[in-house]
Amino acid sequence: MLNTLRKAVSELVKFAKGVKQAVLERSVSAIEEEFIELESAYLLLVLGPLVGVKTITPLLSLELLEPLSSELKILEGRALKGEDVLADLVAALGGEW
Amino acid sequence: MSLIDALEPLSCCPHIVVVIGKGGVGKTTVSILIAMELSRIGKTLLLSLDPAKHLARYLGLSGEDFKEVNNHLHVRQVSIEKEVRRLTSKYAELLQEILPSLAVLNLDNIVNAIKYTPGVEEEVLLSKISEALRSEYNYVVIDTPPTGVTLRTLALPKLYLTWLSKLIEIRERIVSLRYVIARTLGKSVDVRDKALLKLYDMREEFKLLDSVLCSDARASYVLVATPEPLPMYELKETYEFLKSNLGVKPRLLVLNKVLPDSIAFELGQQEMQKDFLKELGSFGISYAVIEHLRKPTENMSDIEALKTKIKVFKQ
Repeated sequence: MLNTLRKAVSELVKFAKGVKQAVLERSVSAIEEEFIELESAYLLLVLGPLVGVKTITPLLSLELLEPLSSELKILEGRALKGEDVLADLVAALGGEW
Repeated sequence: MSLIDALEPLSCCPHIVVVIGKGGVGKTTVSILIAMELSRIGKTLLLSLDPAKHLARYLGLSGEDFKEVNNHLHVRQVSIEKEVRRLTSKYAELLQEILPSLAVLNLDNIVNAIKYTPGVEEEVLLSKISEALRSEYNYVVIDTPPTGVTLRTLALPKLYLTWLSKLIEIRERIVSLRYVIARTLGKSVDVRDKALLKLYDMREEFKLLDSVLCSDARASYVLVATPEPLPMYELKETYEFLKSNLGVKPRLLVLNKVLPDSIAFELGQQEMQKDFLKELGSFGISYAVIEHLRKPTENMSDIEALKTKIKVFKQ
């Protein structure tokens, strides 16, 4: 009996935790959306000059590439890998697929 | 009175003297004269960014080179093409490392795009000026490329600061959002962001560059012209540019290759020359007049000979 009660309480706690997590995740989804959009905008500003989009100068863009190497590797995985890798990367930032 | 009397007071370290003028007016000659005088009061670097490479010819340098003329005077001729090539291959390696797939697909296109992009020359020039600012010299005299390129280069730090402030604004927001999301979800997050730190570093570098280039105390601008309409027109344009874009006034105006009155009269240029001299005096800035050597200046002994032909009018 005691064991059943313990199990029930434990399940209840798990359920409450799950609800809390769901509420938290829902509350940050809007922030996450802004985060993804901003990150895409930033990468577009930095990568743009290398695919002909005039945002900043190409040398400034190249100077800023190194600290973004991990983000670029993730993006590269999402890119189409056509003839123009950089253009694919930029497309992966939210362009038409 | 010597040329540097007109430039004083000269702060250091280093104090930058930027010599600007239309191609062929004698920027290199004036730069050498000023550098020689400055080397008597402190360690001086004469840095030539002029693609015409006249400095190399005067001093017997080959290509991009460095020479210690004496203990206090060092000269460097920068080859912009070489620097652009060096930068391009550095970035090509970086791109290859970050995005290996570029190497088999379109790295060559990117490299060419970088090499031939308008503005690369100006950025390389700026990086050389920035290096000079961090040097141990008391004085750095910069013999610049023709006016247009020089003015675009001098305007770059402000432009960079505008771009950087926008990028920093976006990156700070990204970092703060990343932190909020991670903390809300109970995850650990590293608040240091390499990209943001790089942006801060670059902002500091360009702030320093901008503050020195826009400071009367740290930088002196010397405008050189010959008594002809186009060089004088460029001198006035440069004066206006410095005043409106950098908020500085040139320290010295130099009218080079001034013909003796008798010869100017024979050539029918006496009146024009007089008008230009009058115009030079009307700026309210110290100016110098260097009489024509009656032959092209080709070597250091010609430059020595010019020293006796300089008249400085301090205002």
